[in-house]
Amino acid sequence: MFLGYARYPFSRYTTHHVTRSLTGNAQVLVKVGEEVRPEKIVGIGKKSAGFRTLDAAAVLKVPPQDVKKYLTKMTGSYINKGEVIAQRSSVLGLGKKQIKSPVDGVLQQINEQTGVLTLEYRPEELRVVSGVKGVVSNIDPHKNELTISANVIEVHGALGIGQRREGSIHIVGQPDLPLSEKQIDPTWENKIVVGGSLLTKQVLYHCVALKVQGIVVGGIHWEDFSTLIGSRGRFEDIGISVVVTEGFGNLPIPPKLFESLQAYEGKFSFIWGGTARLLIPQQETEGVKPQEHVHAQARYARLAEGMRVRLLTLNRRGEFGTIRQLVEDTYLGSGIVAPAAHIELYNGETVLVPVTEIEVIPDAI
Amino acid sequence: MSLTAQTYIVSQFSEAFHTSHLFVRLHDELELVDSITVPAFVDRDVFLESIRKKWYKSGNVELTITNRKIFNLEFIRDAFSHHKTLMIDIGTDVSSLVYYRDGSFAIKEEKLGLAEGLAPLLHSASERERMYSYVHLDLDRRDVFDFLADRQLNPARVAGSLNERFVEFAATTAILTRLAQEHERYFTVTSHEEKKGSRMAQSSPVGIAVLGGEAFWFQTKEINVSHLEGLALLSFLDGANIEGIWRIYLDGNSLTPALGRLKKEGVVSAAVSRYIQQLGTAIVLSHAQAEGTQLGTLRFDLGFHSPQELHVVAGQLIRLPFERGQTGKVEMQLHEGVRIAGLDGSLATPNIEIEGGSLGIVIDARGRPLHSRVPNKETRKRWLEGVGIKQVE
Repeated sequence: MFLGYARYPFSRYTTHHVTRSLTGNAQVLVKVGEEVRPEKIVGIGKKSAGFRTLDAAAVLKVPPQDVKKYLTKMTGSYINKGEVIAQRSSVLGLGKKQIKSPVDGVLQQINEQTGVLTLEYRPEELRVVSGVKGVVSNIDPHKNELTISANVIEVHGALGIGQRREGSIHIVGQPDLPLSEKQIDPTWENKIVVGGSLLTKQVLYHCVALKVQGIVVGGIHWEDFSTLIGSRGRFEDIGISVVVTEGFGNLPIPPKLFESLQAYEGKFSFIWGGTARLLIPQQETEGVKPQEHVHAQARYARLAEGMRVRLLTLNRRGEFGTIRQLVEDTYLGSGIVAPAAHIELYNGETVLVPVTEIEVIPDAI
Repeated sequence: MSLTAQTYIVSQFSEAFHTSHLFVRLHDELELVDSITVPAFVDRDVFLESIRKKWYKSGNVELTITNRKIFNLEFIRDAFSHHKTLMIDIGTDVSSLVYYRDGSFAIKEEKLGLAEGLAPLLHSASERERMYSYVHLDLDRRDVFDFLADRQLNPARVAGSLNERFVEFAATTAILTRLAQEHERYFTVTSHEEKKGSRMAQSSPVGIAVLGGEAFWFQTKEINVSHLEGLALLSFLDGANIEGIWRIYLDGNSLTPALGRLKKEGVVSAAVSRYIQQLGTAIVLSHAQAEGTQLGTLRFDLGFHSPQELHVVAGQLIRLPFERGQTGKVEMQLHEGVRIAGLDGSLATPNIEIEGGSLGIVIDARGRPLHSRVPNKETRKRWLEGVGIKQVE
């Protein structure tokens, strides 16, 4: 029996718990157990736009501790730009000094020791959509988070780097050609781009500048990858999330995987480089899919003639071929005796390779 | 006297491989009958079940090695009990040093190896630079590091081509360099105690080194692949930056832990001559002379008609064939500024006993320290030829 490495680049539908975070004094619009669709607004968060201070004691020409007497609005109340918030009339009523709000916002506080008013700009409302079709499974009011259980397709890469990000999938280039800077254009902004056999640091930095959210690519050179990893290892936030589907080197994305991902062009997805995963929520048009267990991530497969494999050798690395013959205890050019396989490459050439230097590539779903 | 043969199955497990050896003992003879190695992605119990089926015999004794370095110590204590011995085991995720001398020993372990254990070296730009300088072939450095880095993802790798073997040995050399830097005292032929007490009588100036672990696998019982033995010796000379006179052995089948385990069972003395390849004797001259400078004369009495004289020149790495099992003597007349570590005086030295092996006697006159020198193509070719490697891909 011959055994060799295998890596399953994706699983069928699995249940994934998607976390949606809300900011500030948030309002949750759903409840636990509620079914949601991708476009459903699950909560409205508030994002502070900043603060401004006014020296009311100086403007009104009163001692700081007396400013409170001249306020026309209570602390905590909403104020509009131009609205009078403090006023002082002269002794004979012939003149008055006023403070008008320079902003739309909230009168946050008055400092009775300095006579300074603090105004908070009206917070920005952030409407958070579900992004997935699923069921709200948990709401955590302390963390302002809610969790939605959703069916997703998980695409497992060989490695990755970066934190959780999200965006629409955008297929770029070819699966067997390196990504180049010339391909990059403004349509990539906020997207998760998929394509290419090799990601270089130059292309990656360009994508970060363009606010690309994620990149799914076939390979990356080790020396580039090692310079990206910081103290947090693969969970380092490098401004983008990267999933490398095949490994180190110029390695094409398997054709069937690329073909499967093309069907999800424009679909909202999640990418998490640190765990090397792309999560694509189940689409409305896909109907009800039975829950299937995630494949145990088997690392090996029983080899057989006719199987399609990829070489992990020093030269010809990443080339695809077909097993034509398996041989026991063969004397190899390295001087080692080991089980080996005769592999027919796409150009018709046949090479003899130890069975641990090939990787089985299963077909796509 | 009973004529019944006793069989032993000795198994060991690492992060990358499961290995089992089948031994038969008849009287005081121990015979290795078979060995099986599989990648560690195979479930351990499934592996053990399959070898029990294959090697089934009533009364098999099954032994497991849970700590390789402990049994390496057992092995060298038995096999080289009267010598200063250093056993270096370079695995896939950890490496160990076992040092033994006159009843005292030391065991050290580092998270360095050829797969996951390579990460500390691969992450450092300076270490990568050094590793690349050890490759001794013209290969694209991106290919080299992608190939090595991939072992972190797929650790159970067996080199299929000679080029891959060269790259593996470059990594092995880098690991040896780090081990020698961390544990310098064990890589010298002169012990710490001898250095402290200069009036003490010197014990044998010859050190013994045993190289083992996955980094030095040949996985064949017919160990007759001189270029691989040469690479192993070169990686030790370059990586460990050793000085002095060393007898070097190679465990190409990861047998030393198994033999040490059997010794603990009270079976037989470790079968060194049968299963551990003796590469020969390395004589390393310590000097800082310019290339081409005359360093001195070595006079070898190898049992031939007349002694052989060799005038050594700085920069040389040369090999004298001298077969395993043969012993001889060498007398050295060295010039000013040239010494042999572990020997007293620089102008004349007493006769030193040396032993042959598959590589014979290797004289390293390249000078020490080596690491500051990055060889050009011609020099690399000379060095490879000096350890018996004539042709590469």
